[in-house]
Amino acid sequence: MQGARRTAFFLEDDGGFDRDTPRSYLRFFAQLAAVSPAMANDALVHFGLEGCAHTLVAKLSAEERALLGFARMSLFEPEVCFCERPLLDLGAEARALVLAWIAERSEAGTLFVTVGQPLREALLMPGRAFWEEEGRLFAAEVDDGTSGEGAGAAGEPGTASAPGAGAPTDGPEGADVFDEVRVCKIAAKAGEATLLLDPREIDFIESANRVNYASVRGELYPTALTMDELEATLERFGFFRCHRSYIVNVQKVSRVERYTRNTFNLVLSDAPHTSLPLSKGRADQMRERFNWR
Amino acid sequence: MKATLRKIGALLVKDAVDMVKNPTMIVCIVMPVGMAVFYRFFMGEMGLGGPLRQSVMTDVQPQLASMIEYIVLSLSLCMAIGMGGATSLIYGLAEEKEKHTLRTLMLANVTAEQIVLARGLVALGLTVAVEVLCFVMSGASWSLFGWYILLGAVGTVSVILLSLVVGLASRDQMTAGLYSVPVLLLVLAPVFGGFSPDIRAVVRFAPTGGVDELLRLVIANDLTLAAAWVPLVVTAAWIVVAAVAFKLLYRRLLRDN
Repeated sequence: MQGARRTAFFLEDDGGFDRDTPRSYLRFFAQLAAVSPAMANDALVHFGLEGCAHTLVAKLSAEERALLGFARMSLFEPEVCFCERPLLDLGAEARALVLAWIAERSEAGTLFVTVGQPLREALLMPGRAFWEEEGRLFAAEVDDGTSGEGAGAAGEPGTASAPGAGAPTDGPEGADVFDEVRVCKIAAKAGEATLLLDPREIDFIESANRVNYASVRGELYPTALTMDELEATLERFGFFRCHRSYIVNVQKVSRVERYTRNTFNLVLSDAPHTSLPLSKGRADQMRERFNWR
Repeated sequence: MKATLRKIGALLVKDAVDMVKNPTMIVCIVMPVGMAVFYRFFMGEMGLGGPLRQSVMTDVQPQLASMIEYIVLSLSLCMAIGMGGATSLIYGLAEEKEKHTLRTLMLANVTAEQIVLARGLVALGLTVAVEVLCFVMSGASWSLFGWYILLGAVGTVSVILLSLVVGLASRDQMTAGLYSVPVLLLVLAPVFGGFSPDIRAVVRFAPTGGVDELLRLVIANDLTLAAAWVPLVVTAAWIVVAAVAFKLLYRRLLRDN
């Protein structure tokens, strides 16, 4: 069909043929894609599946199955690629492999359409991100690499900024009151209770659907503070605004990954090895601020 | 055209290899063959199996010998078609739907026609292979081999078309278990024809009723055009009905995946 584009799909509940092995599975799809079996082997190696090449698909872990799905898609050299929750089952290493492949294909001209949650995963994908609320799509904030400016910009959370709802109890002006105990806690909601979070416990702050959340040990707690207030409060505790929608505790960052000229991720040392987006402009700021070379 | 043939070839190999690895399919092969062996020796134990062995043929009336030959071959033929053409296909497709592998194939530029053609051909191949094994195990005269395989292959066509529809209509293997029962009963119906002439008058119109009747005529050496036209029409009618049902439904059922 003239004008038809090569497409590939990655869906969350793709099972694979249980009685196949990754090797036979990829060889079968290589045949469908009219590429040589050698390419199937290359895909196997590229996605780190050579260790389980002869294991039945039914016995693969969720992560290995997901990687197998990406290896399958890579055989078709797609022009358009649809991915449903592409990073859902992936650990840090596998996520790096997949993000590198997506970045590489994206630079080669492949159009990626991805859906999923949380927003930070969407922001790791190339192009623009949108979030859905009550059937309507809203563009996620475009990060131009400048921090903090433009209060009230589209999507800037700032909800429920009620007085006393967790505003910082300490400020720079308090520096001349030497005998005052300096306390900084971030108030967040957990059901009916209000938690007072120690900044050192917080892995990152995420802004999604007009609500700001503090992530502590894999749990997200909503806070009434705006992103600008949180940034101003947490800056001196080693936090950095790596994206309009994210403030990261730099102490928790274990790795900065770069996939293309303009694609950076921060990988945290928390349990799920969360990846956060880092725009190019902010990457330069971060490097300067923390004196990284 | 080249791409189509390449894809069908890949699907044929995949489906055939998968069938060999699938324990359910092993049962589909073992059951009819086992039944053929069982009936052969079960009748022998009762003193009726002797005619199947050349050494004692002279002691039994030829009509009785051909009757026993017909019972064993009819049962194994219906079982082979039921298990190889119906059950293997229905369960196989239902498993693919349950695990979304049909969707994966269709999203990898494989058409619905290519998928069902490959599936149908593999089921036909499996059925013929099971029929060959059944025939060998039945100990019947080799002069019947050609007819047996030919009638088996023709009788499988309508069952495969019906089973493709039923398999695609099954959401998962659980529903396949439910939906396959009426198909299997229809296919095995001619076996019950021996119980009474009334039952026989009904089951001769089942999907395998035509080929079963033709097999009986061949074994009894009574195959004439006058005797064969009704079973031929019944067989052809089932193929047409199944083909129309398949044509009308398969695309919609595959889309629902």
